[in-house]
Amino acid sequence: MELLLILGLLAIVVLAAVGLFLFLQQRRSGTIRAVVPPRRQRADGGTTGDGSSGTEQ
Amino acid sequence: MSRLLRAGELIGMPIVSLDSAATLGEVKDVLVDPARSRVIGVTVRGHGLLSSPLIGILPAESVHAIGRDALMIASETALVREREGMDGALADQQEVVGKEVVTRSGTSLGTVGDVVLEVEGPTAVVVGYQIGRSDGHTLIVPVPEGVPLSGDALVVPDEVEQQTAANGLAGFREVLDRARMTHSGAGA
Repeated sequence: MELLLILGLLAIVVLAAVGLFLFLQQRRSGTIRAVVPPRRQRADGGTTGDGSSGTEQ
Repeated sequence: MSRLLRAGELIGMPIVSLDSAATLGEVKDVLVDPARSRVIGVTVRGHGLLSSPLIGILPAESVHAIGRDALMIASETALVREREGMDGALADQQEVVGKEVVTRSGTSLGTVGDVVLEVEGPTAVVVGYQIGRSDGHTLIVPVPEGVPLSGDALVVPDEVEQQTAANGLAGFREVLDRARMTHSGAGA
């Protein structure tokens, strides 16, 4: 019974360690991002994709 | 003399300051401007699993050289330190890897696996995309400047389908030169 308890606790610790490792690795992982100009609100309620057109107020 | 490099190879590359010879961190994300086909900067993370996941941003203008093993900058002051909201703003930018590549006539070529850069000194220009096909094959296609990228897809000219390189970056140099000659010939 005690052995089962110890093994269970050990399994939980190992799983937590693996989870933490994966979480930290995910937080640090990099990628390639395309930076696009922010969409701006137009007077007619639409948005402009490049900020260069549209009737803004 | 320029050289070709996958943007993915920059990720994890150490960033070294010329004035102190210190390693300030490593490249996390590569930021590209699809309208100008330029790398406009990189985000910087610390060394090691427990270090900061975002130290700041390094604008492309502050890069002294993109070497084979390290990215060199003049001094630590070139780094724009992380501030509130920076992480969220970066997460809002579109991820290029995994985007579908479609020709103007509507043929899907596959999904973006990596971005190919032509590097000369401190400047990196986007010249192609590595595409993963549904049959498991990988190919590289050249892209002209200003190819539109949306939240869903990357739309490339039809002729790109005929200009693919299947044998990695070595074969792509030849494809790129041919595409440039065709482009300049058409422009003349």
